[in-house]
Amino acid sequence: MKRRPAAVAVRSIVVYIFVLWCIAPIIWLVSTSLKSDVDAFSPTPVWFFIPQFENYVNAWVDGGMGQSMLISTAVGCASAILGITAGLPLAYLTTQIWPPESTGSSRATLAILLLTIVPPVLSLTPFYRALFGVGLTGNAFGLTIIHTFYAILLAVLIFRSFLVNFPREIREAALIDGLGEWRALLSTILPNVWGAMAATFVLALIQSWNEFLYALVLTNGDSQTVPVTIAGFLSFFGTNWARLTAAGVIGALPIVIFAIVVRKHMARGLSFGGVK
Amino acid sequence: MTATAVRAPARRAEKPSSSPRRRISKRNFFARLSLALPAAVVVVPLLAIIVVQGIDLVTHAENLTRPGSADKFIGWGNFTRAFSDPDLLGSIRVTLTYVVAGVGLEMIIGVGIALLLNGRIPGKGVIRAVILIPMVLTPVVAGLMWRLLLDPTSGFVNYLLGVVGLGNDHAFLSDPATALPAIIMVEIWQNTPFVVIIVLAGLESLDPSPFEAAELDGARGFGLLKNVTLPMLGPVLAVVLLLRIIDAVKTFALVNTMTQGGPGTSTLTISNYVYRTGFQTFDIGYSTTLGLIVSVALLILIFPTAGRLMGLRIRRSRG
Repeated sequence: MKRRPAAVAVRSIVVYIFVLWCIAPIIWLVSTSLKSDVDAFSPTPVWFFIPQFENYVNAWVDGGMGQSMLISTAVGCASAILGITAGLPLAYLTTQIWPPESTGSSRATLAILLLTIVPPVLSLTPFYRALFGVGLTGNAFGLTIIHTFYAILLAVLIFRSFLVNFPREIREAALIDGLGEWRALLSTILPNVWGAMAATFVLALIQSWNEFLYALVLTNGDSQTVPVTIAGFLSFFGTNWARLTAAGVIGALPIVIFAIVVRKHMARGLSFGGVK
Repeated sequence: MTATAVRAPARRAEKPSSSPRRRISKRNFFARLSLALPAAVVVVPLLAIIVVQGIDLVTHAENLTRPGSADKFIGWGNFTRAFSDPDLLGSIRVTLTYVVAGVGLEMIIGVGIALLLNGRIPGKGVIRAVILIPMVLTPVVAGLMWRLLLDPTSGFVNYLLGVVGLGNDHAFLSDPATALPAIIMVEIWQNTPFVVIIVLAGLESLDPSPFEAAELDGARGFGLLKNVTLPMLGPVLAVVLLLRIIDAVKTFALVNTMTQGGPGTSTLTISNYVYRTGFQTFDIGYSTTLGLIVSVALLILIFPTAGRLMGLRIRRSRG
């Protein structure tokens, strides 16, 4: 579509305003994290200051962010990998073995969709009581189980959207060659879904990293994940904005970088295949 | 190709069992079952926990601070209490306002920006990367960041308002009139990029030929948008809208970090109310009942549409 330069300029300005609206609060967050306590609390913005990196040291060491980063990374990676391991075979079953439009496949997918829609507040107290009963609260194990559950739901929906158009003849050829279903999955499907797998891993990791409700209820002390520790800063340190924002930057940075690096795969995964 | 693809019954699925591979069908059956096993190992026990613990919790007046209350059977007592609970109604109203205003504005702004971005814009690649940041930012961090920006004494928003002469001491989050709009604004800030990114990807994957035909027929500007672009984008918009609603209904972290439901109950969403009941007053029997009522209502409202949309998506992607 050809457009006049003036129209392009107007469109660009509107878009740039939107981008500024998206990014300006983040810039403010980062700049506050580098200020001294006094400057961070100043009623008029302090534009020029010497960066204070001790806020980061404080947050990392005294604030426990170092420990929380370890916990969040472990819970996020474990649940994402387990979710993919469990979700891919189920998606293979419901798209390649059963035709995607068959009753069995539709029912299985609708069940997964139903579990995705159910708000976590339904299962919060049942999971809490059951996990408390077997000593899986107050450490990261119970939370990993719950996050794996949600990672499986995500993985099934994403893999299904990628596999629904995958030619089923390839699997049939593999079976005729004498491969079992698992071998067929590994040798014909797996090499074709690395993109979907990257998207699932990233989205499951972000989902786990950012999840707050279960993390708040199921972990404490040394097992707290990043959001719980950051939220705890508010009550512990009151209005120490410099340290609080430093913790926020530390906690958000890995996810933001990760998301930007793999953004190519994300749109399709995010919409469960709604767009290509 | 369209409607039949979804509604076609399982005929084709039954065929393999009558094929030459029938003699190994029993082994086949177990091989297929084993593909569902890893997921079932996690999902089935958790579902059993929800059902068993859930039934126990909703029929008892269990309060974690009162020993012995777990054995106090009250039948439907939790439900009768819920149906005359003004806070439940209030939290449903807050959540509805949050979802309708938040997601509604996200859709309008997001689709608008995506349409503007679909074409020649200097720096498009950088823009696409930058607008990802609010979307993936940890909601707890987003909530605290905006709490800092909206602070009545040192907040940047008040400074800006002061510069343009609108007063510089608004306590947005402690005034019942502005607390919910402020949180909705953060919801919009955080999730509009999601709409932009998916709608933009949808726009870029549209078949260009209807646009060329329409332009030859003299359609342009809003006529082209209304009669060609938006109808073709329909399925993508429906999926985005649905995903945003599903996510916004569950909102917890923003409210918990910005206002904790206050002042009073003016920003108390459903998730925050259930959390407050279960883990701040420790009334976990009643808390479970609230969660159940809300979940059932939500499923009745959303699930049929969601299922149909999944069908829609399947059909679309084969086209």
